[in-house]
Amino acid sequence: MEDKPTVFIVDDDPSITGAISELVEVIDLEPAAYNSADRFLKSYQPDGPGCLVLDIRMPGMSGLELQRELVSRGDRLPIIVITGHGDIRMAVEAMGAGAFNFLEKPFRTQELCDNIQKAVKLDQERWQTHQQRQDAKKRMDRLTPAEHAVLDRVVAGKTNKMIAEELDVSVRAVEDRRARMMKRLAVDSRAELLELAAAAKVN
Amino acid sequence: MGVLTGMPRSLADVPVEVPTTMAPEPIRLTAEVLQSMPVILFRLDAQGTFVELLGAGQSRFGRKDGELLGRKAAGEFPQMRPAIEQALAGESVRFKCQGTLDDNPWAFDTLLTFDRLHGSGAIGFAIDVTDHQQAEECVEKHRGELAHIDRVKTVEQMASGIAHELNQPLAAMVVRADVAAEKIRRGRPQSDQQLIDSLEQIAKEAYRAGCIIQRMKEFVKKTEPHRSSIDMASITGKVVALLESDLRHARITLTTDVDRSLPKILADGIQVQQVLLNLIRNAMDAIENKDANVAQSDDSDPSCTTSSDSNAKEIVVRSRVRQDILETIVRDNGCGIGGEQAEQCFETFYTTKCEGMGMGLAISRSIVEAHGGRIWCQQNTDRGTTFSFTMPLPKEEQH
Repeated sequence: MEDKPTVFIVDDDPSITGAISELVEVIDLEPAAYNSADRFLKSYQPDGPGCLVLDIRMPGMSGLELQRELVSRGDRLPIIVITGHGDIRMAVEAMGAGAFNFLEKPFRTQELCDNIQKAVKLDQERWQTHQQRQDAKKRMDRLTPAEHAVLDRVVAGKTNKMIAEELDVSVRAVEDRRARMMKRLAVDSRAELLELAAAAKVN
Repeated sequence: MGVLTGMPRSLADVPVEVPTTMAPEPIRLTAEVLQSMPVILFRLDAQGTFVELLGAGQSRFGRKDGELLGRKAAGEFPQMRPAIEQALAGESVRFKCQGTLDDNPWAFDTLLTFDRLHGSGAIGFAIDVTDHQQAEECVEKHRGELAHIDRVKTVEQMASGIAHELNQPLAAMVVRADVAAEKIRRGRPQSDQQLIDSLEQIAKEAYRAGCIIQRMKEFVKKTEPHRSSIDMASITGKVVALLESDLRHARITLTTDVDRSLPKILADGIQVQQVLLNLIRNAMDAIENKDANVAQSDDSDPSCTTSSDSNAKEIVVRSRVRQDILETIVRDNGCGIGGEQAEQCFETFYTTKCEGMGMGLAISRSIVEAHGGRIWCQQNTDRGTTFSFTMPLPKEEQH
């Protein structure tokens, strides 16, 4: 059983973090509440899917500043911005900087709940893709330089004969290397091989 | 001198109609002259009984000429009692004697002194200051109305912060209530206690929201100016509560040094709250440098523009007793105030802010001065400004 996705909640008001934490538990996710952006940053480790429910107006580091910091770290944790009265300008700014959505306080619980679930789902997919990529890369790294040479050419759409000519080896040798490579990468067909190569490359 | 309240500054302030008939000879002060003037001249014997009484002033409280003769002054006018005791003991006392006749107020500025001529008893001279007093009350009422307008205006400007402050408990309540309902729907509350906790939280939040509204309501309430014995510490507490959200979000640290044990002042609590609120909001604006120096000069002080970024933003509120006054200061480390501004800032409609009306400090000054205090401001030696105001301490609190 996998760990539950974590919903980070950052708001300077403990009554808000308390209430949202309760909600998160009810929908079977793991809450992690912080009453300042600094405290959140100190303990935050991006090690699994989740999302961030973030108050925009806070003393100390503001919600917008925290968002900027995460973006600059290349972190793509989805952010649901919650705003108080008259913070629409800041909400627009947050959306421009890539926030998942924004809600004005007081919001409907269902609305927040839907947003959290959608954001978590998005992040789970992102993590899955990321995982696959990591996995594909790891497998690619196991290939020898000779096998890599064959792989590059297969991906480029060349036949065994063409590869043999280019590498100045026998067709038989290419066939051997290709079989070994497929086995090492744990793929059964050329289609699978291409898919894996594509996954490893995009990053 | 005895205990005097609300005295006109001098008898010269009181309009007295001088008969304009140009007498070729010096006017001889006779009983007839006094009988035509709004004054009362009287003599008390050693027992404090009226033995002589002259002047048209007697009609003001509905007494016929001489009606009071033979009656005890302290019996007729209980508020005179301490003054009579002092005068009979050889002192001179000046005090205000007032009352109502058929709901119409009357007031006499009264001088009472030991009767040296007879060697016992006292001589009194009272002058009718009823009109003067009513004019003063009228000014007081207008000041109260103006102050109320300023408070409403202030709260209007603070509305966004207050709304934010209200939204917090409301948002929390909505979520907690929905979550509790959902738990019941799913048959999942692990125990009754869990639901009780939720309900208690909701009640706490609702109470918190109510308190915010209560504080605001009290502040904008339109009331007749009313002075009572109040302590600066609770005034400061209420003002800080109103500003809490704005201070927090402007990231300004407000330190209060106002001891509960300070002597109480006799003042209109709401109006003193208003003065303090005006001064603190002014300090916040100076720190945030909201167009602060625009009116002063075009080439504004460069240290000013960086002030909000560099050091911590701080406001200090401190109250101290100095002899017979209570002095309260509001000190900020904002962009400071120019010499000319320091002079002008208390004038009505003087403002350096886009959104201001220029009323806040002018009203604060009129409130402070009406209470017998003073208000002024000074540039700090390092940076920022200190606004100070004083309130006299009631006599019995002085020692």
